[in-house]
Amino acid sequence: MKETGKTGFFGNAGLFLLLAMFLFTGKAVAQDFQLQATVSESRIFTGEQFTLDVEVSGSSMRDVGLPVLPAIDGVRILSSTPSRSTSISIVNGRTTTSTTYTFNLIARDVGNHTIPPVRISIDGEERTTSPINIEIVERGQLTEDGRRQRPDIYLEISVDEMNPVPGQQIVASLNLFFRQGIEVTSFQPTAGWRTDGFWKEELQNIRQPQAETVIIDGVRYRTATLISYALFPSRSGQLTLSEFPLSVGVRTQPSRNDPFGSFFGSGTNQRRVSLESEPVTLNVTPLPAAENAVTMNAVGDLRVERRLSDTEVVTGESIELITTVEGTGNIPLVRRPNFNLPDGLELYTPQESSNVERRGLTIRGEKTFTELMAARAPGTYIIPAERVAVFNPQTRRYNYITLPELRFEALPAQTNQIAQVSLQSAQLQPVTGLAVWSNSTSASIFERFWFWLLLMLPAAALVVAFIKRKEMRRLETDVAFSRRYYAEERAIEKCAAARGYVDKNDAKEIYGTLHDALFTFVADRLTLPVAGISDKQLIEQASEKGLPQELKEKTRHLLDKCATIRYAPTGSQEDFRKDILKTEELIAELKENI
Amino acid sequence: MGTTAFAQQSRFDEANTLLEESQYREAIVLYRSIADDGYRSGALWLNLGVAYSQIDSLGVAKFYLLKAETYSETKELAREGLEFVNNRFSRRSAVLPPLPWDRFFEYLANRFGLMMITLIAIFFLYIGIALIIGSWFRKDFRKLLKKTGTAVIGLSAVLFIFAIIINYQQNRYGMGVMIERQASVFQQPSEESAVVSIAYEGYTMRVDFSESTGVENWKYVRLENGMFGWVNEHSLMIF
Repeated sequence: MKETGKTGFFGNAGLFLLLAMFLFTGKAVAQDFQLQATVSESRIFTGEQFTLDVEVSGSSMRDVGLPVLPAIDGVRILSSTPSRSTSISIVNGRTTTSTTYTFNLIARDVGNHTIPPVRISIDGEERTTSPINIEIVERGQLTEDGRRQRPDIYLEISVDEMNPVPGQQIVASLNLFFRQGIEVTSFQPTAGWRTDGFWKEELQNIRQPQAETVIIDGVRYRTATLISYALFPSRSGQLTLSEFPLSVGVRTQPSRNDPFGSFFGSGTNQRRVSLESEPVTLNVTPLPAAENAVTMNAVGDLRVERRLSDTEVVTGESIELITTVEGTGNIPLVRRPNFNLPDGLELYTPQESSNVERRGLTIRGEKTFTELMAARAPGTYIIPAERVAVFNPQTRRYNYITLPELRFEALPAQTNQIAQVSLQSAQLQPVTGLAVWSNSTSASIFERFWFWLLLMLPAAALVVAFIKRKEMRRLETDVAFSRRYYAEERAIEKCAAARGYVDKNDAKEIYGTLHDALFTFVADRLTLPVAGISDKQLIEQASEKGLPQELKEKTRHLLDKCATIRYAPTGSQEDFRKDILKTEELIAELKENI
Repeated sequence: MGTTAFAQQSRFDEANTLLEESQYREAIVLYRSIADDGYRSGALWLNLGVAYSQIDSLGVAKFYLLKAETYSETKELAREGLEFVNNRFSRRSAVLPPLPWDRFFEYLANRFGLMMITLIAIFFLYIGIALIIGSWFRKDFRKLLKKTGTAVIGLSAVLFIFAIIINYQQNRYGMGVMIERQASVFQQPSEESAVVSIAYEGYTMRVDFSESTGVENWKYVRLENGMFGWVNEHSLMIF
């Protein structure tokens, strides 16, 4: 727990001398300063407060920073800023200054723990203390001789029922125990007591806490109940009341063997200590199911009554159904009963009021639920009888209270309100006469055939147009394709022109045109030159390109005939028409084959 | 209008007479028989709403008036009726405004309807395709036709997307009206689970059919105050 500082002017040469002096004296008297950390107790009870002192002493005033305390396992640091005290002593003309920094700590977890090194800046250099081992023992743990060890002052939470049901009131009392010779001057609860799963009501203490003497494990203690709370568990299962933190002002008698106790001081030692109780875990058992009854979450010695504010009421005016829950129990937690009400009533926002007394050790009082209703139509309204369940924690059973049937008479109204309602009713007129009818069809538009047909049509048009566009582009750029494409059309046109010459009996023109039609058609279909070749050459080339023999002969015969008659025109109009028809047929045949 | 149509019109007239004679329950039976035969009419729903309001079943009345509100010929009358019915409910729900896109699609669905939006989308598609085809064959207007056609097809695609979203919403969600005096809205489809809220008669809620699939007797709903939960389907009327 000591830290040796620098040797300063000794340097390397004086190292041996320093070591010799240290060995000789057994203390670091020649050191420039001393750093030391100590704890007030090395064996501490859980919840007990103890102190950690960090002392820096030396022969001259130094630049000392505040020590930094790291987190300590199992220990809660009450304040990270330490209190500071300084003393100066002069012994044999040598002045020593000592500064002590004190941290207040509270033991939390049982076990062996280590207070890690505390960092402190001395003359701009960082120093650390040695770690300190402490042991935290459970309160009441047996000592070696079989007796229980208890601290001089400690807190305890006592609960009057460890296995309550949800909604049952239990009383948690905060008891302070302290040994003879300790006088408690004041106490102040500090924030941090968690009561998760409980509804908490502080009970009003009628008198000041009175201390009583008790003997615990052979040791005389004084005890006082400081605060009492009424707790209502809100759910079943294991619920825990956390550590209760309390700051207590105490005054202790000075130790008899302290020679300066009565010389300098007033004869007493007054200080504040922070205490924490141990957590308490309760096992909350679930409420049994109520049989055929209205539940209101009522637990305790409670009475339930209900009544109507009147037995006769004018239609449209409000009437009150008042339910009262009275007695000792969980009055603040009682819920509005859900009664069956007849049809034809308008319900308004219900009202709720309570009057709770927190004196003594019980919560008692009265809670009233008021249902505001208005009859819509004249007549007798019957509110049926109800069975209400109230759980009695003493007998651990439900008490069933039967609420009798209530009835009231609603009289016809003559007020403006009813007139207004009638006026509004007049606005609700049915539709008469011919109505517009439709059959129920639930199919979505996306499930109908015509929708998909309509959707496909533009796609089909797009495809057709695309093909057509491609064809047109080819006709523009591909001459051979263009000639093939238009071959028949041109040939037919020429045949039609030839037919025009029939009435004129112009055999020369007729056969010349037919020759041209046939010749050009074959040349266009086979991409052969139109000029510069004879009929024979045309047919030969067509034959080379796959013209069937039969068609070859027919074509040759017709071309020869046209050529012959062109130069020796003979024949009747009938013959002309036959030849034109024959040419057209041949063209059609050729189209299928070339 | 065929013979069967005349038959339901005569039943409708008969029911109207009963309604005027204050024989509300008899009129309801007759109106419902028309509906059970598969005939729909704004007037039929409106008169059912009026009849139910007279026998103090305000939740059911509201349900039919809401249905009547979706028909153009009875829209105004249904709104007046709804105002009257809503004023008679003792409890009203806090209303969380719907999200902007929900409001937008609801407006489209109510103002134009799914059919109309789809047909407009198809029309624009045809125009767009025609313009694109025109651009292939009319070199002189090629750019103009192509750009216009592309824009019109884009517009058509947007309308198709709207139609698909509306169709999805209509298939997935429905409108539910609370017809019991009050019912608990549970966190899970079980009466043992935690109660999220209480729904009172006349509360409207959005029913999620998709989420409710496979869960018998329960519907997953979104209340008007934005809370979600499960409601016993017997407490609701849904359209």
